[in-house]
Amino acid sequence: MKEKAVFSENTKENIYHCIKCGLCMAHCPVYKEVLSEEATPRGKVQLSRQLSEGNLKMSKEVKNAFFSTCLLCGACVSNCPSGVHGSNLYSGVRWRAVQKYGMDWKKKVMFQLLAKKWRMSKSASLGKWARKMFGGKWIESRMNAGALNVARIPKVNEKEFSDMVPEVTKPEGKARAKVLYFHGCATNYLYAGIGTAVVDVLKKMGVEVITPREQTCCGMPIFMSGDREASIQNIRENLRLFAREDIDAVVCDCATCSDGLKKEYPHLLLDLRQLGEDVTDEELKAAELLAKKVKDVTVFIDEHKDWLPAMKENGKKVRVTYHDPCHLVQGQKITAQPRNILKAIPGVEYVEMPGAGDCCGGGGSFQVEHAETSRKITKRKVDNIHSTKAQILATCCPGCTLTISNHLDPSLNMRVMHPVQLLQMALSGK
Amino acid sequence: MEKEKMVKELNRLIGKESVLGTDMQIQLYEYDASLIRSKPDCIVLPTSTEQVSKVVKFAHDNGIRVIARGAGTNLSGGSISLQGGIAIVLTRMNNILELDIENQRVVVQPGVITLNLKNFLAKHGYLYQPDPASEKASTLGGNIGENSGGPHCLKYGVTSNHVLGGELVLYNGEVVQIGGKALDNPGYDLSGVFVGSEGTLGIMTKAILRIMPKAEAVKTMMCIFNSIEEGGDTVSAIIADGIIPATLEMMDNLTIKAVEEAYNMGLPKDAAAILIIELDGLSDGMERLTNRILDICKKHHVREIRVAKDQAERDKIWAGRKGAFGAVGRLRPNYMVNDGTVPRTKLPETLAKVIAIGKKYNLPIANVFHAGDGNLHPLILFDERDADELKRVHAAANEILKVCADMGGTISGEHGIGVEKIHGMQLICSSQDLASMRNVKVAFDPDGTYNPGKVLPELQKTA
Ligand SMILES: Cc1cc2nc3c(=O)[nH]c(=O)nc-3n(C[C@H](O)[C@H](O)[C@H](O)COP(=O)(O)OP(=O)(O)OC[C@H]3O[C@@H](n4cnc5c(N)ncnc54)[C@H](O)[C@@H]3O)c2cc1C
Repeated sequence: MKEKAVFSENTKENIYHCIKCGLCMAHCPVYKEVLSEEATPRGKVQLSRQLSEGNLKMSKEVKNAFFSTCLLCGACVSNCPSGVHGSNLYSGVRWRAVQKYGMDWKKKVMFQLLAKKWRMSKSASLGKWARKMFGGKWIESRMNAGALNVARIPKVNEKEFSDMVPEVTKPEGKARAKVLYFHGCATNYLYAGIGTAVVDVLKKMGVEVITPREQTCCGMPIFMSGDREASIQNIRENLRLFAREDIDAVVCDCATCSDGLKKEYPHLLLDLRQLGEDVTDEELKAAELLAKKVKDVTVFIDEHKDWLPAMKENGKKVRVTYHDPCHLVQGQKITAQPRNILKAIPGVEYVEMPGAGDCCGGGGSFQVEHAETSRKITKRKVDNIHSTKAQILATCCPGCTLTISNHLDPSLNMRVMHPVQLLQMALSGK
Repeated sequence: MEKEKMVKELNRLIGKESVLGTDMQIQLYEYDASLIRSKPDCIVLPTSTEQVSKVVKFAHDNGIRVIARGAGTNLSGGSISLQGGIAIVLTRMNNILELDIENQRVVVQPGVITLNLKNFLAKHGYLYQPDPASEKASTLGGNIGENSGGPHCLKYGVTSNHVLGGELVLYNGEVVQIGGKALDNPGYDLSGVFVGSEGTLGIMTKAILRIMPKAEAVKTMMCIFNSIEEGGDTVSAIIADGIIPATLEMMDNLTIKAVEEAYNMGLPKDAAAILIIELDGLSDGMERLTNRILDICKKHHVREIRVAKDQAERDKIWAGRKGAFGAVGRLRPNYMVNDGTVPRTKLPETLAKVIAIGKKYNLPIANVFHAGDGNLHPLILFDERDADELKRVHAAANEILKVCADMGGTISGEHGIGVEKIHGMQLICSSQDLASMRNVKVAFDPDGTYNPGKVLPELQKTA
């Protein structure tokens, strides 16, 4: 049987711009630990080329290389002087690999659930399932959560965030703008406090916040794990809900979600169409529109900081440092805005950590499946955080939050928060 | 020896986790940053001198070829296994072993990444000077193998000026020490022989390097010109005025455009040439020196001068310069880079000839160079999938080498001979010269175990 084309023509042509200079190695968190060519972005780009030219057959070894030595953090993409878009290649190979060899069953069940509308799996049952999945006795005895300490995974929200927030939140005072709020799965299931803060702060800025109830997972974790077919359902659903001309912005509280909505949707749809899948012009247009509207919530707030009501001072100071999530710093080049917000808070003493832009090593399911590599990367991060003596770590990605808070030294009682949560506290004088 | 048997033996010698041999793995080590490809039979990733020694002894005893490999970023095919055998990858020997501030020395394993050493030293207020543009990825072992240069080598000299000795694994696995921490050591200067030997004489498993205190003041300027001749003349004039800046780097228009696209530094895309001039030293007198240079630039009709205000701006300028090769990869899929060197005063003339060669073969050529050293880097742009174009590229590259030699220069300033420039050796060396080098090779490696087919043309035939 002839193997299916791995890449669309566009994507494939991009491979030939890799001049094998190897500068990507300096930015790859996995290479720094593994130190073999397999772990380099250059290596995987070259393997992609061999695969697409038919000089290398898809095998379990290839599958493993593309899953176990890559976090899809995008650092190689944003630092490649030749403009090679490695992530597009790696996710393409993952897709074909999963088509051939299937996905780990545990991931499959989880993604099938995420891929369906959350409504259907209604709060309590999913909550229970998730705890059993990652925290249950049976799981603990048979499997582990890799580099994650199961006992330190936060409790699932009592109630899903989407059930707590009204579909439309009216602004306080003068109405200045209208936004759609895309809250990721993590906010929905684990970190409802982030969601509440986002809505609260925007409301106080005079922004009407619409939180579509039917929104689903952005699809990125599914897509990154190679199941493009399943992720496409989510993409279609989200395009229907969020690609709207009549709003000022679509705000996100999760780096990965916004990166996906902005960068991956248009590319992926185009790619799939070129590979013969059924994608309409309208869908492509909708993806372009959405890409233009999507903004990380800190970017939106920073752009309109003059809308913020005065912050109350209470004389207390807390030391705060900031971790750049890969999908903001690499994918979207966003570094200043979250820091601006933190520095503007009267009670915050801001300290910069060394290597703030380095990956935390989590990478979603990477930390579960490739624990040893992940743990080493996380250790560097955590050491850098602790070196600042900060009491609070701020970051804009619930994925990073989960990973980092799991590895912080428990005796130091550090907290990990979204900058908007700190802003919310400042606005209410806490 | 059968590959399976080789892998099995190596597994036994140094452990399975350090040996790679599947088809996929071998494809991952068939390239470096040059255009050459050829596969090793298997790959080892040792973590100690002892392991390197065991592998080399095993290879030698069984007539297997051996090649040392760092990050695989060299541009001349130096780390390509032309005759199969074992690739010894040293990236996992990456410890900084000793920092001796009093004597201004540091002892490292070969897999330490150049920039990592610099970052480590910076914390102590020290510097290791050689700075190849690839420093964030290249290893010190590779730098030593190629005797690498970089922008700051104008003032401080190339890698060989900073390597004082180290530990070598010889062809039969024996481990010896050469040189030492002192500036002069008794007996022959084997470090001098070894640095730049491109993996053909042995493997360095430990290196003693010279470090220097960080300069008190640094000034980085970007001077923009409307003609490449004016840029070139400025370089000659600065040196003629008795000034040796830390760097004198030049980029031409095609390079400027590519760099701007990749790094968005606000470079004027219509400029014909940019000179990056850095001064370092004591703060006293720095202003005066700067003004002298600015005067010279003005005399040569500089269009604009930008002085970096702080470290961040300085870093940005250098990120652009150091990413220039990669950025050029945006223009066409491949480039062939030459690094011929000519006497500084011949720079403008040579450049004109290079441009003419590009026209003759209908190939775009981007130029980035260590202008202060007269070290050219014409990057011939092409697409290797186009056979006719590839043929023209090789012809043009040869002609450029010849031009450099005719100008009284040489065929490689820093990237090494490897495979790509081996046929150019005769342009520079007489057969007697080559024979004397061959004697050195035989003295170190009588059975031709190390990196066969590189550097010396005749040896290639008889190996
Ligand atoms: C974008 C780019 C920019 C570059 N800029 C510069 C520049 O400014 N100046 C410059 O000089 N070069 C430059 N280079 C070339 C290259 O980076 C250097 O030659 C570098 O020193 C190679 O280091 P490496 O670790 O990649 O070594 P490799 O490429 O792996 O090996 C280089 C050679 O050294 C030998 N070797 C490796 N380790 C050892 C060891 N431990 N003992 C003995 N021999 C060993 C190998 O056998 C091989 O012959 C550039 C390359 C690129 C891609």
